[in-house]
Amino acid sequence: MAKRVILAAAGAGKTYHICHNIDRDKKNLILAYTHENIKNIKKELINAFGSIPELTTIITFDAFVYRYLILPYESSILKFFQKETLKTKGITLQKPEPQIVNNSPNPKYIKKDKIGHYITKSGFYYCDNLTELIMYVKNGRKSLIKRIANNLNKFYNEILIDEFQDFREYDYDLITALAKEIDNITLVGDYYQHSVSGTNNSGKPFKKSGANVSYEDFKNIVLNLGFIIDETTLQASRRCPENICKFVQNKLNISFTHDNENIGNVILLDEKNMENVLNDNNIMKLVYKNATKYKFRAMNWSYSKGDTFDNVCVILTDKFEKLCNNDFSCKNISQITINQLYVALTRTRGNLYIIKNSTFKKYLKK
Amino acid sequence: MRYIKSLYIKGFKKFDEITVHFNEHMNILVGENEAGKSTILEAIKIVLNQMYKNADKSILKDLFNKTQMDIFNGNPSLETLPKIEIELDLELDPTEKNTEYFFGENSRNAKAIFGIKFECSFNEDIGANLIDVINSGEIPYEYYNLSWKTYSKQQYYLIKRPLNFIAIDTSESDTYNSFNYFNRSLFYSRYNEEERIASKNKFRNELSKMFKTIKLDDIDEHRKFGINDKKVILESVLAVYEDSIALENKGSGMSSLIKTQIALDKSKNNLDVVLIEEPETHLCHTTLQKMLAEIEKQQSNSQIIITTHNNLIASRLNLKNVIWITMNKAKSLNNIAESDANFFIKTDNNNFLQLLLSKKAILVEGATEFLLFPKIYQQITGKSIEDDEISIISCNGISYSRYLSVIKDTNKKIAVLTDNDKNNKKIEESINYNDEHQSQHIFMDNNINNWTWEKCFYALNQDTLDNLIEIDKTANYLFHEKDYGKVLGKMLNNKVETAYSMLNSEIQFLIPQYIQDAIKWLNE
Repeated sequence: MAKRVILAAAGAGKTYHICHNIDRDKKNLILAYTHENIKNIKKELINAFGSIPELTTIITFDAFVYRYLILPYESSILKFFQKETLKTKGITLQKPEPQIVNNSPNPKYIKKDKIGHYITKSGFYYCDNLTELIMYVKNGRKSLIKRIANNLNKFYNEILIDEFQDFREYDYDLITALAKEIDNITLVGDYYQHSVSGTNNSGKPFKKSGANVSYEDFKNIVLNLGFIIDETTLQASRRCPENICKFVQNKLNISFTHDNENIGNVILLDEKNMENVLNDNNIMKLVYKNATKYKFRAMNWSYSKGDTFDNVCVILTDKFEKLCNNDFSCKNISQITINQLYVALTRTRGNLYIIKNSTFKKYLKK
Repeated sequence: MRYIKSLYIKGFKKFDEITVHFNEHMNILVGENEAGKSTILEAIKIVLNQMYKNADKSILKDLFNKTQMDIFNGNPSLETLPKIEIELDLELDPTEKNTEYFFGENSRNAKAIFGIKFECSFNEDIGANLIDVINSGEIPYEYYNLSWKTYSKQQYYLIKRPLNFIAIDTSESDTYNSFNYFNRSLFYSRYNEEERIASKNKFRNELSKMFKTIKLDDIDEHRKFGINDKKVILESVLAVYEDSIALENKGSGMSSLIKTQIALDKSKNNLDVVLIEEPETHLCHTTLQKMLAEIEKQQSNSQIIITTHNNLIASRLNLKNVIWITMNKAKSLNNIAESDANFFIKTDNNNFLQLLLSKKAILVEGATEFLLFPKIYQQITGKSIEDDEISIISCNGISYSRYLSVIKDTNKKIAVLTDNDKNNKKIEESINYNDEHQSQHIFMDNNINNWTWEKCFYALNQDTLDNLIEIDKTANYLFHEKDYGKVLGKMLNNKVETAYSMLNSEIQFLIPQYIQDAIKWLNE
């Protein structure tokens, strides 16, 4: 084993692959970004082994940073800021003071080299600045994170990180720093699902000097970090039927094949048959935003990440009005916007219904 | 191998501050009475078993260190409030379950290691308005917090215990509790979680079912007796049976032997650390021998920590494993200058232990002094050396400097009685030594003409000894080819025999001044 990045297609079974390939008799650490991911991973582990293997730990990335990186090394951190006697009390979700408010410098902003940038006056860590903190602390020339990563090697046979494309800025730097030192680390993710979640949708590593980073650029970045790239293991979708895969590959220009016997078609709805589908609770409706506003069963595109449904109806945005036209091209549409639609289109294991924005507006008028 | 590497105590009972380093396998804690041997075991139990977690806060009065209390009483303030810290450094295998939970820098030495930290301190958040009360000299016990954190700075929960641990307490005072605790710990380490839960569940259900089969009349139309589920707790009614006799019903000596045997059987019971408190209590010599044989046999499997007063136990289980608790310090023989430690280990010298265990001691050169000193002491003070808890130790040719080097840096009061060997330099060195050391002094005659014990006595009691000592007129009694006169010559050549005659003579001899000085100094 070594440092590995598995680039996966939507529905190719990332969670399945992670869960079924761990060594249950050794210590594994699985990190994921959301509680939803954690739930799916735990479920899959139970499918694979009957119960969660005793030596395998699954936690969210934030909990990992706080419990594995910050708390055990708090002495070093406080010493770095010469605040040895400070007593910390936990984490706060309160936002730290921003550097700029209304286009002018914020007098309350505390600089990075002060403990107040990371910990409130009453002793709570700002959740938002945890990773920034851990990346900032050094002991002489040696960064704290390097020392911690080497300790992690003693404890874990393998560290697996799910949905790594969701890590941004300091989180991404942290993953990179860990990856340098960790002997066995596997990152699993889908380039085409990056920047889909509501938060974290800008910046490193998918922006460089303001420009978007393409799939090929991204592969180079990862290679330079010393990873082996695996593009074959999780290339084919275990979820989407053949016709759906062809549609997605054709329209969005993303390599996407199928590895399943599921049957389903892409069906463009018109005014007449739209209503039946909207009212059918067996079909999940995916809207761009504000899913809770609608009476029918609906979910936002970005929320649907990681989910599988029997049948899906995607309600398009204005930008994709012409998606089903033969001359459609996504040339002038940003990668992030394409990724968001990609997620929505790839949730179904059966039919994929599509409603144009113009058609849907007629429904809303009623 | 999971074991306790070291224990750090600050502000708990006897200990202002102490660090005890443990060996991976055998540890024998020795020390005079009240030196704090049991306090060390108690500190381990507080950390690992969260002892006192649910106790009433009034107990803290007995747990705080007296020095800290005195400092607070002398100058009551928030800063001087007494506080207890106990840290337990552990050795764990990082590839085992949950070990990362114990790993971090949250300890006194701020290095990333395994361990658990206990802290009992005033909670400034809830007691913020108590400053006046505190400044008036009152300790607000109710506002104290007891916290258990792992070295990763996370809450320590008993369920995640880092190692299996049992304490065998032979003191009779608390038989019920000590058994209960033993049985519980054994139950926990012997069976895995699944087995424990299944047996507890079955016990509860079967008991309720069984009760229904007892035909008791209902209380009235709607009411009847049943079993109170909350009181049916399997662990609290468990007893260990040996051939149909419950251990509780065996003699206390026998039951401690059996408990020890069970605890040390690691292959079955998975205990990593076994604490044994004064195994000599309640045991006759042969049972003790049996128990020691058992311990000796098993000592490479687990970590064993024993407290004892007994010379035999310490020497049987190897002097090298002795940890000597004295004056707020724990000295391992490994910490003592190696040449000295090896010297005592190799000579398997029990006197050495006696020195460690004594309150005050007098070191003498050999058998002559050893025989006569108690009589001299009685003659001068009117009391026996036992009354004054003074141990007399015969160096038997071992240089007293070896002994002094072992007990250096302690306050143990030791007087050395020695000969000046006609050596002015030796006299001068002893004077210098006494200037530099408060608690240990060397006494010798400061006239080189009185170069040995016999010569000193003869000089003072010439007539009495001429009468007492029978000599053979034809013998020369040369000593190292020198003629010292026949009586002194015989005394020098037959030291022990002479001493024995003197002891039996019931004569009150005049006592050389340096011996009187030593006795006076010991009693200062």
